Amino acid sequence: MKKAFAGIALLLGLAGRPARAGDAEDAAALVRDAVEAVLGCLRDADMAPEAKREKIVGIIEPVFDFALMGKLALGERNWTAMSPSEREEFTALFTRRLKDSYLGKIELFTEGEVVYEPPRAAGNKIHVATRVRSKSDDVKVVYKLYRKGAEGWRGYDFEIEGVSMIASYRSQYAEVLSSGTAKDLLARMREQAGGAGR
Amino acid sequence: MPLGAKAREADPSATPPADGAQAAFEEFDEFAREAPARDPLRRYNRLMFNFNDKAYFWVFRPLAVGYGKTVPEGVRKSVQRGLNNLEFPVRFLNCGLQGKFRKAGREAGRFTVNTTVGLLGLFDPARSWLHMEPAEEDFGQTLGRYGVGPGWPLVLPFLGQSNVRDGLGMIPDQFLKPGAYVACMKPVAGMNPTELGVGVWCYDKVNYVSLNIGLYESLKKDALDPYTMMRDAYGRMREARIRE
Repeated sequence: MKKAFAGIALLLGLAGRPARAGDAEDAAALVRDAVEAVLGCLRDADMAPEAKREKIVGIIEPVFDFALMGKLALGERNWTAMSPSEREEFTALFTRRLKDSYLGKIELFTEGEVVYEPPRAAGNKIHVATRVRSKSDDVKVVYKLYRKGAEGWRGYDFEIEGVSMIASYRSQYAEVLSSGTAKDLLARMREQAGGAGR
Repeated sequence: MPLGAKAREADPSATPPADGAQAAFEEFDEFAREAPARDPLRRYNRLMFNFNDKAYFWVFRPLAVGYGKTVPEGVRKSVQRGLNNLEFPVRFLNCGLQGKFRKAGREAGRFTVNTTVGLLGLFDPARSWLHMEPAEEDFGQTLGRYGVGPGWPLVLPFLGQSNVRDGLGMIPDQFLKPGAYVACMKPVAGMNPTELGVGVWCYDKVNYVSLNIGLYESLKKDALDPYTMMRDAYGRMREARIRE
């Protein structure tokens, strides 16, 4: 069915590039390699906590498109309303927030047994579902990836137990911006980052 | 969605550079659809959220930290599994009510295996050996499955974030939980069964917190406004579970 649909789209000259069978595999491999590298790093008892954090950030940095994630979390209307310098500061603060948040969570999962489900195509995106076994329960984490031109697959969101990280930040930012300005939002984010914010 | 729009969306070369305009937002319209949350009980909810927050940091967390230092992690995990095993009727019945008979059968299988081979549920051989995953179903999800909307968000004392539907759904479920069995028993050794039931609930909670120290703290640290974040996260998590 899906094949027939892609075929029709192709005939009509509408699809730029039909999904290849290998796409899902590429995306899944990107996630799996990164997750396993992070787990390996967490298990390394000899490494100092600071070095560990730095190494983990180094692993996840190429997997996610932080700049895009920031834009999506803000939403089109709020993003276009910001000045270029505000956008720049927002992206920097958001990226830092996301990294801190990821590190804070991953440290809770030092047991780190992760089960990978087969990747699933969702439109032109790929969803890679994983189950992370924590001390007391299983947590379902879904990585959502898109094709970023020649750079290959990049993560643009992740869901924890059905809660999208982007959607979660989006409603919080929207709430602040509904009663305040971009300056207020940036001030709140700076405060949250603890001080200077860069 | 019309065919043309779908195909255009599928064009990866349309992905704009980092500072591009609307195209990026169109491609990721999955985030644009959501309506803002309606929360008429906001004032009460925030008050109760703060109450629960204090209860966590002043009572449950210190208790759980002390308890975690005395009782080995393996034992605490077993306690959680044991109590969770006793909540089997909740999951079984709600699977059945939702017409998920395969899941109900799996739950019955899990209960049988874990209660016997798993030593009264203290271990989970059904999962580790037979790969039978638990089915987390409750009456709130059953109602949701039959089209009952979530209703207003509602924060319950000690129980935390909920909504009108799930809060009401807890009532029938509570009768099928260990705390309720205990509360229905005849007084034992001068102990009031109701108090004992509450005691079982508190113990379960402290045990759970001891296995998840840092989780709530980390979630709270992520939020610009912890109440809004928890409220929305709860709603989304529940909708995802109902869809499953």
